[in-house]
Amino acid sequence: MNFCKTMTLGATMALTVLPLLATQANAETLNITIDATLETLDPHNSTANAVASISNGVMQRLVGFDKDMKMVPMLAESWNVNDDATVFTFNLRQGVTFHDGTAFDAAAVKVNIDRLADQSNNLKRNSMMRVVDKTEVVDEHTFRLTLKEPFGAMLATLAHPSIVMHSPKSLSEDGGDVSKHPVGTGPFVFNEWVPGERYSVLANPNYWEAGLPKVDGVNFLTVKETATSIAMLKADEAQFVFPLPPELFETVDADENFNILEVPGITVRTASMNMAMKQFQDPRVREAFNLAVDKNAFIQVVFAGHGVVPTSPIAANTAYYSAQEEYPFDLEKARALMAEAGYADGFSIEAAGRNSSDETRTLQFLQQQLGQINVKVKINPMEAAARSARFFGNDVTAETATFGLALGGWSPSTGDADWHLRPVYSTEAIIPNIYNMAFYSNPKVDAFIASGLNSADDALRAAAYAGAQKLIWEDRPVIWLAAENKLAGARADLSGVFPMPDGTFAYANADFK
Amino acid sequence: MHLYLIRRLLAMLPVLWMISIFVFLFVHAIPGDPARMIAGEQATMADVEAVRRALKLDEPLLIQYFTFVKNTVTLDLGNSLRTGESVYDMLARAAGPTFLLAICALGWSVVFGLFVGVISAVRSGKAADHIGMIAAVSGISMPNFWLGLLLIQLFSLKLGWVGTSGFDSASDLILPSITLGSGVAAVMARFTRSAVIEVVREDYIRTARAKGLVERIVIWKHALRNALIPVVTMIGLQFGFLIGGSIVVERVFRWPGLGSVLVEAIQFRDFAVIQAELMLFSLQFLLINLLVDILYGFINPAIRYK
Amino acid sequence: MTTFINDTAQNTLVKDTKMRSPLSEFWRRLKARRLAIFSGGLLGLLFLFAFAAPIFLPFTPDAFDYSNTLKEPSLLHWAGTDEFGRDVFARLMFGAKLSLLIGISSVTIGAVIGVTFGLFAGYYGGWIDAVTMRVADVLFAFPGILLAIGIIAILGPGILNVILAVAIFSVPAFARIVRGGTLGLKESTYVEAARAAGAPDRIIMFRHILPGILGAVIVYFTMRVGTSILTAASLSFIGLGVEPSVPEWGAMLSAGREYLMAGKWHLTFFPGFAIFVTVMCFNVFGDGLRDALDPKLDETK
Repeated sequence: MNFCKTMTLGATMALTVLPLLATQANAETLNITIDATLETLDPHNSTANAVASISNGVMQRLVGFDKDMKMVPMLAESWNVNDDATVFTFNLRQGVTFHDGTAFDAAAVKVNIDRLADQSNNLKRNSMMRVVDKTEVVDEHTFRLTLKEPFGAMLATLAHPSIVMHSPKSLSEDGGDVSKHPVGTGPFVFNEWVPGERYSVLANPNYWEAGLPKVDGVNFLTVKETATSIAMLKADEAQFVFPLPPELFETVDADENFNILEVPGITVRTASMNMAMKQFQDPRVREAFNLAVDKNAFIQVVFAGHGVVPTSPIAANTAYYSAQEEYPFDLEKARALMAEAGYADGFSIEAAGRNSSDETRTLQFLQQQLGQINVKVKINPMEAAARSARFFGNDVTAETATFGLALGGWSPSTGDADWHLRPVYSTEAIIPNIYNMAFYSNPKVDAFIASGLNSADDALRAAAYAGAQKLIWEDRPVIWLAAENKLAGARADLSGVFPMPDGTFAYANADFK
Repeated sequence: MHLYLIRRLLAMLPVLWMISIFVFLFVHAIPGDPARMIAGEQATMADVEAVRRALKLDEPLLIQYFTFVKNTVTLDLGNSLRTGESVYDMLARAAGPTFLLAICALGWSVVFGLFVGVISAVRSGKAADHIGMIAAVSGISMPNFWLGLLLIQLFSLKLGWVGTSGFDSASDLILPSITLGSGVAAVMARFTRSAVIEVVREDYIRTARAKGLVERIVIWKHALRNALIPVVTMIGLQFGFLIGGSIVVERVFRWPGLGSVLVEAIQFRDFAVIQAELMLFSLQFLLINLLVDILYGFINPAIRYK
Repeated sequence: MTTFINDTAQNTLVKDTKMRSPLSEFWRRLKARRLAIFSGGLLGLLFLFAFAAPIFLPFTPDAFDYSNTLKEPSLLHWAGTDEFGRDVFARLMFGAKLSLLIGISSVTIGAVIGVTFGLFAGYYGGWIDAVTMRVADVLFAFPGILLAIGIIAILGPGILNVILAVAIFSVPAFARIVRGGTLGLKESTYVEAARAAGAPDRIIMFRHILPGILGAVIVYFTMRVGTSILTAASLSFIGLGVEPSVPEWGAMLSAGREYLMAGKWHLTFFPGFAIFVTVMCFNVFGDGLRDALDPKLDETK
């Protein structure tokens, strides 16, 4: 037995030392830990933040976002839109080639948009391009998109991290498999993917922007345990950890070898109240619930203080945000309202959410807070598949939904109010369709949301969304809990890598000073 | 002997068949819709149906079962419902680290356990025995995830002797195999002790002593040989539990093995992977039992196989 | 090295000739094992704490205090506070009650089912035996924790389902033990006599055979409680156990793990230690019981 063990150890050592030597010889490689397993490398076919994050250094979009969720040109240098937001014309950047040598031009854009618009492709992001009517190559560097109906948020949609430009050759029949071997125009070239373990990219020597990239390569390591990823950071096995759990903020911050990177997030955490239930049909109960929960304490307990109290259904750094009056923490008023509504003795409900650590904490927190107005909350942290069936199963209806509170969080990766309000608060989004877990329906809100899409004019859209936010805020179908900050931990000399407000991260400009 | 082998292998088939039904039913009894899981939260109903059609999940259950059996037998384990990757590849890749970890854990724990057990038996009633047995009881009483976390805290974080997680170098094997093997070492020690004590009381041991043989030879050559019989059976059982029980340990140490694959597959209702892996576990357990029985025959010359 | 006494007539004369009933013989042997008695005592203390202490505790396990979160152990909070400011020591005590409840009821259920099946299988033999043992084989083929995870996956989490899940994977072991014992006792003379006297099968099984194997069952029962508590804690650790706000030790460990790297060692240390000590006491006590029951292994001579 001992001999076998020695032999195995010896063989393993030999096999593992060699690649280890290789990586150590290259000191300018960046190691990043991510907390999810990548199921595919094709952002067109994934809704996972992790996939979007790792892809944005390899493949690029027509438009992108900067650190503050402001739209910036990327592969499109400029664009114009017609008045009713149905025709979008883009002037593309010149002198760009894909990693496999194919030229980047309007034809390439057409191939990609067509792929996304064709609903029969069964890609997870097909629905984002549903309104596309036709795509045209005006000339080599000009691309025109015509929509079936007005869609003011089209630009924002094209800026979504999933709407990347693949090389047309890689999309063709014999060109390869973009889900395993993506080819793009970015500063990094795909190198290797060991599913569930590691995804690595190398610097692109022919990148169109001079001076980039500044590191030789990047390895993304899947690490599920937060404690493990911090340990790796401290041991310099990783130089960037995302997401950084808020309770470890102090540990990393205190160490001067590391920096904390923090940005306000556009994710808004909510507990949706099931308005199909009698109790929640009374607006006084819904107001009481919002008053009885101490949002500041929530942020302290669940996010270690790293977040903001919501002042609107959408976060402050989402386009077309309009501030509303904050709900104060007022137990007395909450109790009074409950009594007025006839529920002085409270009632029992079930609160359901994921079994992740922050949602579990949130559930317990709500149980404690609502207990103070005599509401007995039974908490139910569900594992992924069960939750998926409960909230998004085909047979979910208002009549059969038995949960009183449903935890959720929505982050509009397009940075645009439409992609937050429509999927969460419009009637057409009532589960299981999209994400309206409160079964909330207000036709006036629907009208506002629709008119926000009818034009590309900023002022018009702002007015429409202001109207929608005010109504939703007054109707209070959910308890707005927090918009948490996105935290990352990085080695002190690392720059150019930062978390994005939508829960992804950017690394294209990575540099070790 | 060969006939016995063939008979045993054939006898395994109905058990495997029953297990396959059990596994299939079990997997489909779990509530949850893989199509919805894979399509994601932000997908619409139409998207979900599209995914379901694409994955052939809309076929009747019986057909899905026969497909499953056919595929398993031909080793065409299908593709992961989630990544589309070949299940065979996924399992092959994860099996290596798991088996390696199990072998290392088993290796040290069996050797250590045997040693402690024999010493305890020989010095039974004395200090060495008490210490050994208290250590053994501790080993089986300790929650292994707690032990793992404590070890990481001490040896990785505080002392920095070994890496914290993953499987990047051989030294990464140390902490996980200690954690995984602790329970087995404890059981081995206790079991060996009682087996040896029982054997030592036998007449033939007294005879050996009476013949004037050196005590060490009496114990290690004669007593242990016979005590090994039940011990070997025990080792077989433990190996099976090691493979399965590594689920929690793999989680704590981020070990890229079968346990991690399975937990994620269950989370995502990835039927193909769950079924294949459960069948793999069962098959391996049955094979180990068979191996143990054969070894048993070699060790104990009194058994003759018809 | 113990010396062996040849059991000759001469020696019998020298030995104490007082006749002892099996029960007092058992009790005498048990008392001689100081370690077992000690752990038995600890267990008794544990039961006491679990059921009586809540009355004396200054804090309830659910009382939250957001200004006092994550404090290390102090004179006020013997085991510190958790992320909601709840007193960890109070939660540990309540967790004791829960763990004992889960451990004992799950093993009881498993034992009742397993013993019954084992008796029938061993006594009747034939196809009942074959089927039962095959099913036991299938259940054994699954690693215990996997089976438990599977059952929870189907039934959903919660205390009752945890008890059921853990109970089910105790069944095959009890069945095996009892079947083996039954096979042995089936041929004994007094069973033959009972059968000859025309006693119905069920009486023979439960009144005559069962008492003979009861010793082994009790020993296994005791050890099994320890394993069950461990399994339940593992389930909670993975997130498939009880509701999170419930102060079950495994759940506390799981929640506390998030704060391990932040230096809040007390959140994982105490629950883990509690599990460890409790399970150890059950195992040591079980050992003592087994040694006391089985004269062959008695080496206190």
